[in-house]
Amino acid sequence: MKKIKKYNVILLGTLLLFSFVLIISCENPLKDFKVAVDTAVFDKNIQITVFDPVNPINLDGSNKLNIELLGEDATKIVSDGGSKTNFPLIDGVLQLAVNPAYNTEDLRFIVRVSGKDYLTTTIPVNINQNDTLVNIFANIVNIKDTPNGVSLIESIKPLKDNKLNEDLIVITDDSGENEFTQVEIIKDTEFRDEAGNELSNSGDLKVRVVNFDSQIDESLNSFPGGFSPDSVELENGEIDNEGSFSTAGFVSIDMFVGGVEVKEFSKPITITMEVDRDVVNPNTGAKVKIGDLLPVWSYSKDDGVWKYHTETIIQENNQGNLFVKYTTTHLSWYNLDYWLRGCDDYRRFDVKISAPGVTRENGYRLATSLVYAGTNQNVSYKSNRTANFYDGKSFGYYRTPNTNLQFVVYEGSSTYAKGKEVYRSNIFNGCDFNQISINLNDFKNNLPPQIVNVNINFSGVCDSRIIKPSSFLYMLEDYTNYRGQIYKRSKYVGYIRRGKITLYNITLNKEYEFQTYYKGRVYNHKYTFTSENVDLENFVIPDDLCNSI
Amino acid sequence: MKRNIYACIFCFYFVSISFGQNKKEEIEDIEHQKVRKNAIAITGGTTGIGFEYARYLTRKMTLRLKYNSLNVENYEINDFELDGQNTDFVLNLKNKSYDFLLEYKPFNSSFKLVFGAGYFTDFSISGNLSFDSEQKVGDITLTKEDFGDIQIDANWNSSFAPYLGLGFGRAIPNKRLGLALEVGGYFIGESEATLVGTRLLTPTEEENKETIKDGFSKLTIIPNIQLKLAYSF
Repeated sequence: MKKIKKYNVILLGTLLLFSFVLIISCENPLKDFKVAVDTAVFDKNIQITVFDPVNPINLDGSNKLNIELLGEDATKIVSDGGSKTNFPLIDGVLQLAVNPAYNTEDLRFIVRVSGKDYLTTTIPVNINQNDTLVNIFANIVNIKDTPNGVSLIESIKPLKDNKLNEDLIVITDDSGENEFTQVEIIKDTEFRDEAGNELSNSGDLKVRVVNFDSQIDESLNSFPGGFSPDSVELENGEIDNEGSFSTAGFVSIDMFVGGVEVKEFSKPITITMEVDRDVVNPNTGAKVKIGDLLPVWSYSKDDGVWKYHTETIIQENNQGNLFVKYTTTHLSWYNLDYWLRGCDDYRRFDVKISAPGVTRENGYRLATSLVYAGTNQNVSYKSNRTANFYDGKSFGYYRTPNTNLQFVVYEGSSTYAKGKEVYRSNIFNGCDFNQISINLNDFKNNLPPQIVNVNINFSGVCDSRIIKPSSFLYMLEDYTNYRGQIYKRSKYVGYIRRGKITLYNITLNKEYEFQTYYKGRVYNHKYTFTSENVDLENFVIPDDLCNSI
Repeated sequence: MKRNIYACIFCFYFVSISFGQNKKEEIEDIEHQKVRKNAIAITGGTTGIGFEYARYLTRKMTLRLKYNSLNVENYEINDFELDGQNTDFVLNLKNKSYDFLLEYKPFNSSFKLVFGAGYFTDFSISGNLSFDSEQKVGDITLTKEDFGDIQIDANWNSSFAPYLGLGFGRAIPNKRLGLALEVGGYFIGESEATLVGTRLLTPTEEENKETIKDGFSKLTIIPNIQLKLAYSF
């Protein structure tokens, strides 16, 4: 019996020891697990910056402009906070997203931007099923303080029996500083609203004509929807989505009777627009001249579609200025434009960068232009852009015109602050070449020194939860308008994807102020970079932002 | 932890029964080996359901050949707490393995030592974690799918693992039917563990790559706690 008891103790001890080893071996592999959350609740995000190029601070604050979404897909769009009806605009920044239920669709809608003292504009937005981010920068014209190259005039005329009792001529600045537009409304013209109803006993007629110069960047940047619209309606009624505009100037004409917007007239009005002699006809590669044909396009502020209006012949007036003349019975933006198909719709013309020793991480972001040879006229709106320069990088242009072109690089990193021209390529034909090569070493010494790219890896903490934010990031920077006045403006610098972003052209040991916008609020944070790789971990996110995430 | 305590209590109970054997049983043991040298058994335990064939080699040594199968599909655990947050946990567990074992009885009792090896053709554990509620963002309701999930997979496919175990109860019972308990472990080595986070939980993947690797690297022993019902012939 004693023997059995001894066995009992030994065997029991062995079993317990063995069980203990097993229990230890079964340690929970998830015990140190940390849940980290991305804040990008929407897959497809749209960022639109509306900019007043004369005085950006006019748009600082909340909802200085009215935002409406138009078009059949507008109902599929929400604000960054998920609202279907309220689209907050803060400091000119509008952040939208696609309702996840429609993620697999190609969507097209119009953002209509209007406000007191601002010319109403519309911004077409296309987001295809494979797109995840859309960034749009759009100028808006302050009618009280217009940008360089934009001349505006307003004229008020009383009506008699709801008609003009004499001819009315309204003309923008024709001193020669800017191109001019003249609008002529003849006696006895009646005015109608959107529904075609005659505007009667409503008050005086107010005419506003805004001319946009074809040779000045600030003016061209105010072109509604950009010069590469998704589609246009051609003369034969067909929809063409494989071209781009090459503009010779454009005009916005608005009329109001007693505050009600005029859409149509009982008699055609006559519009005369000056044409700059430096405008290049992309079909010939030569500057325009008397007798050239120049098409006119009209733009509907309601659906954001450009339609062929008519064709004009370039003439010369007594002062030696070139001009075109046409008539219309309805109001819109009118654009003197060549519709450029390029040599091959699907061919991509590439600019290939050679930069030995320069990698993506230490590359340069520079402003560039693709221009008609010997001029500064961009071949299209999209050819005025910033690009990252590092070894092996290439970027392309579709529908380049069949004429002589040059590729130009500037020292600045923004299309709004290009700085000096540092490189201009040899002349090449836009259709004869599929690629040109640029060597960064040819002009690297002319670039401003001491700029680096900073790779940021950021994570924040809300309570004990790790947050890896996804958000559009903006940086406050100095902006100098054409009058030399300096303002602060919020510049979009990139998208933080799950806490990671590369910032280009950063000066070390200089303080920067960053901004993010979410649900109609702005969050500011100042930071000074001391190295090119920054790990910002366990950043304590403010409670109010944590609560809204 | 509670489950472990229950297991220990059960072991004590079983041990106390087993040590209740006396000389008379030992004699029966020797006697019956002369007529019944084989047994088949069905087992149930941490490695699943098993089917076993056993044969006496010597009075103290028995050969056991066994096939184990376990297939737990989409076993849902609600309110599974992970890093302080409630999640829905869906567990999948799969095992297909073969055991080649020798059972050794060092004493004149049912106490046994078991050693040998298991060959795992498919042994994997996977878990899918997702937040257990919908959430409203403005006018939009985001579903569980919109938030994404965390998928953890660990597998020890085609691994050969030495086995060591001990227990009570004979592989070939003295009577026609017999019960046995065995506790042991397969020393299988490290697994291949992967973690994938989707949608909003994508950063979890990067944040826990090392955690998962370290956590599963410690799981080098597959525990085997099994009950067996054997029929001798």
